[in-house]
Amino acid sequence: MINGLEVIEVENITRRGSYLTDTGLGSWLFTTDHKRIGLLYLFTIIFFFSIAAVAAAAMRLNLLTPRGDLVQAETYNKLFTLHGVLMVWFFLIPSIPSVLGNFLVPLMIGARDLAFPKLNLLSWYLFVIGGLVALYALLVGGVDTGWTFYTPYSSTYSNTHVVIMALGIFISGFSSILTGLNFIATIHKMRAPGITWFRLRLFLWSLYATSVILVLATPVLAILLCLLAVERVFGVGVFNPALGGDPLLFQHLFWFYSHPAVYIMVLPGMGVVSELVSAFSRKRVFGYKFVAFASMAIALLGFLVWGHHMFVAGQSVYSAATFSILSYLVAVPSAIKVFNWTTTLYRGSIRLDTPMLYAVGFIGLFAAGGMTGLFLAALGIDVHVHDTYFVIAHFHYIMVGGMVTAFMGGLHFWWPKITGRLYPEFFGKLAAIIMFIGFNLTFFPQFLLGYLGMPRRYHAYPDQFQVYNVLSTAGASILGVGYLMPLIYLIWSVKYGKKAGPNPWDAKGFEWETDSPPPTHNFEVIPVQIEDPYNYPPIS
Amino acid sequence: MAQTQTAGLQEQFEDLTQQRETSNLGMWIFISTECLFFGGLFLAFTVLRHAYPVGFATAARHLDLLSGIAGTVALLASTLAMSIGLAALRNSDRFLSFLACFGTLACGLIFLGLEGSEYFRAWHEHLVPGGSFQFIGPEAGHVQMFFLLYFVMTGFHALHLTIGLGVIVCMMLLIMINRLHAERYGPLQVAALYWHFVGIIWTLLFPTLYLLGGR
Repeated sequence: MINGLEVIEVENITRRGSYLTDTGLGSWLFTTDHKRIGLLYLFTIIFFFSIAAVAAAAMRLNLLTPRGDLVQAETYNKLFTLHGVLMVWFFLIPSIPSVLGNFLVPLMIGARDLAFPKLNLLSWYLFVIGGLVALYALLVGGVDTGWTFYTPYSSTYSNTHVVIMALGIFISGFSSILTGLNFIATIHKMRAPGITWFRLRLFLWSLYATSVILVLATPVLAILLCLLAVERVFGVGVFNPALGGDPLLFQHLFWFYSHPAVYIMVLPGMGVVSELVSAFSRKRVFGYKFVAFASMAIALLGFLVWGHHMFVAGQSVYSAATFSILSYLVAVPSAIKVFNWTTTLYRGSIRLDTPMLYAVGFIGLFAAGGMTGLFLAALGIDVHVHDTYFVIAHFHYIMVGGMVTAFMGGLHFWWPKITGRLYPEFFGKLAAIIMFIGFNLTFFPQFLLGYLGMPRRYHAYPDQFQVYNVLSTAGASILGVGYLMPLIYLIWSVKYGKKAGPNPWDAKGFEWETDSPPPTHNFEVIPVQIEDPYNYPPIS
Repeated sequence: MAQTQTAGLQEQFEDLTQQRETSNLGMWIFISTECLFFGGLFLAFTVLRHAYPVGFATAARHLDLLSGIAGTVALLASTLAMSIGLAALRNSDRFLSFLACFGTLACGLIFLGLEGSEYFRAWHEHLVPGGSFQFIGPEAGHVQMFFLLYFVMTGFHALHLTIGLGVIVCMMLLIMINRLHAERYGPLQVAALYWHFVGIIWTLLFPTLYLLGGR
């Protein structure tokens, strides 16, 4: 291209402004721009995360002493329910898909927007309404069933606001479904010329797999919550054995949703890490097709393993054994990903910028979380550690160590694209390291606690567990600092950060070819993909 | 030429074909969601029916089979009319298309009327679960369980049907003002997909609720 033309183009973009130029409240509340909706989601989930984090802090403070001096047992039950519900449905599930996914899917496939922009806005409104209903349940007294809502306790005996909370989750479920639907349709039908399925970015493969789960699993949760509410309101048995219902039916349906949902809470993180590892070792991802298919395999196998939550619930030995073997199988695609990321690093030109610190942290923490998952998939060991802190530690390694770490990595990586500004690198690195240390100090002692037999969901415990609990609480306070730091310096950087330019990381991909922040319709001319993704020049 | 091609084209799409195909795919994905939604209900019904065959069969005999058959026929007729409406629009016969959509609407309303009368009768006979439920016999608890599921399942179906009727009214308006025509039939195609899905769910609900056991 002639230089003069380029200059004119740049001037055009500057004059037209970016997607952030309009500042009126209405321009945000009625936007159908996927980038703005992504930001709306970001603000919303940070709000819910903060509330859920306060609940977690209160629990950790309470567990400093064996007698649980801070709160009563009933309050403690409400705290862990609040923490679980908000973290799962109002932070983790929408975290990477709805924030980074919304922002990046059209940019990465070279489209002007998602396939259904209005549905996308609707899904944000549904999410907010669902969240407000759940908060209303909190304000009128809370819920004490745990995020799992096991019957018959939830449907008959609990005297808390179960139906309101269920309604909130029900509504926000449709937000998940619409987001998944939008991503699948967009990835199928709106790819720019030259983007074949095997030139698709791995982040998109992982979001595609996630969307399949969102679309196929969430409706089962919706109908389950309906039946739970109906049983509670009419007093007619569906799940309550005293009324002739089947409590295992509840658990089957619940985990048919909630186990795949666990993969909603890690697959997008894997996608982010694939991008980060490639960009910061300046190499194509090793075994691209294996990583892509591993995402799909995890999504499909994820639908077949729910029974491993019910090993001690009274299902038959044969189904337990089957579910155990199938659960082991999920380790195969997960391990393929870990091996491929590490192999990508091999002889790469590695730069340990903040996003890469998070990515490397993810690989280690996810490996630890995944391996302890194998303990829980083993029938004998699961009986020993079922419903103990071992389980808590395991899934926090996946969800906080995995997903939140990946989310932070992705947020830092694409922050210059989102805002057009660079964050302060020193504080970024410091926060990443503090988060890693704080996380491990919080949750590693919980593996030991669980193995020694401390059950989950109790507000008091025998004296011999105190040392580990004090360690865990100390870790949580460090982790809290790690979360506060980015909140401060990222906001600071929006105004005072250095200008980023289109491609501060010198990374490959359509999103780095357009302006930072991108113009409203993303691209002046729809780009064409002429080479494989991650096609970095050879390292000399 | 360029003007007619871009009429009704949303900014994120390149052309009308892409837009139509994407909307179609979107509806198919939505239908897959709905399958799992109703699937959960069918599973719950099957598990409990398996546990209490006598009570569920007793309860099923309190449904009016004739009314159920009439509703099924009305709904099948409505899906036929819908197909005719779409084919007519694609053949540029807007009048026939409008008429067929009206037929769909009428058949759907007949179905809702029949189901409403079923609900009314159940209420009259104190078969609605909750405080007013009365049933004399050893299986009373299981009969109530059946009717709880009956109302949830048919209720969700009726809700879907009602939404569908609203969509059809919109389609009729769009046909009337010439916003839908032989070049731009995508929205009607998507609406038809949805309507057929609602019909298929009923063809599964009808035998499950009315025909299983004791007839």
